[in-house]
Amino acid sequence: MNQFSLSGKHVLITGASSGIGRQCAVSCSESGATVTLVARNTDRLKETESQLNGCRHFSVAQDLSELDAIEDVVKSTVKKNGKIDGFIHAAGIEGTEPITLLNAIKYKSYFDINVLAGLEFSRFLTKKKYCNTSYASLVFIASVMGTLGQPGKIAYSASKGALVNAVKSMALEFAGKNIRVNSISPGIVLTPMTENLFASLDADSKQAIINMHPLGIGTVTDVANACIFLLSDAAKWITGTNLIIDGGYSAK
Amino acid sequence: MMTKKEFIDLFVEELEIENTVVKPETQLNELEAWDSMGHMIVIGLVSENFDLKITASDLKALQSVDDLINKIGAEKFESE
Repeated sequence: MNQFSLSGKHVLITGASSGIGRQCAVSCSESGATVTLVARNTDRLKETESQLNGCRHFSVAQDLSELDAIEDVVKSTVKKNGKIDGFIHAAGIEGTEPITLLNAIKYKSYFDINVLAGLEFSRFLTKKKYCNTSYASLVFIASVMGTLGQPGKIAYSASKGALVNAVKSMALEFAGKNIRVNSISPGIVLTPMTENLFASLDADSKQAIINMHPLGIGTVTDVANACIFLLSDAAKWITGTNLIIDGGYSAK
Repeated sequence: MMTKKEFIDLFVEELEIENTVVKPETQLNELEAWDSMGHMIVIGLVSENFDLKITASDLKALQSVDDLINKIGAEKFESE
């Protein structure tokens, strides 16, 4: 039995309609998992679903800022595809806004998706009735901006930093159930979200960001592979940690 | 206000007790879920539902589910 395989596991992925979340869905299905996809946009969910390996996959179209709907998403997922072995919270919003342009409503919109939606999923899917305890693993996609700073990233950094530390307390709360909890902090990887970011920058600023990554800009597969590792039994002694995948960005 | 039965149902739900039928005379120490996480959950439940602060050492002194109900105060429950 390959310790790195996800064969027989059921993984729920938020933000699965694009970017890192979509690649996680594709890679998990290629590693043998049954995948439940959650995202807002039905058409893009269908597109992701068409790229998956195998056929037992299932999509739920849900706007995650509607936090009250999350228990029903977990319930219907378990009813349809069985108890959950793994979770990836890849849903997230990003933005570059200096503090003068930020306000409480904007901060809250970052926190609702990046942090609270992930925590609400954790609350429900760690219940014995929804989760295969003794094998389960939760992975939160944070960011190097969760531990480092950058002008214009106050709201984003605050939300990702919250996630990195919430993971540590969750790891301790869920250890008794043998549920592992970890975060992954990617540097800049090419996704539709970062293309938007690059589109807003001049050529010099863009090159400056690329130069900050000694191994260059990452790909979504680089991040998805790390997720598979943390979801797999090969990582069964890893919990409460934050895995930085940034091509050397934070080593400087 | 809730009845004692409703409280026990809530206790079972929140502690995720699956293999034991919990009754007033059930001994707390016989429940697998009655550990430090279980205590934390019950302290929260009691605080939310009865506006009452109990401590982990209060809980450790209790023997049975009925003791817990009496600690909260039997008069705070609706009659069945």
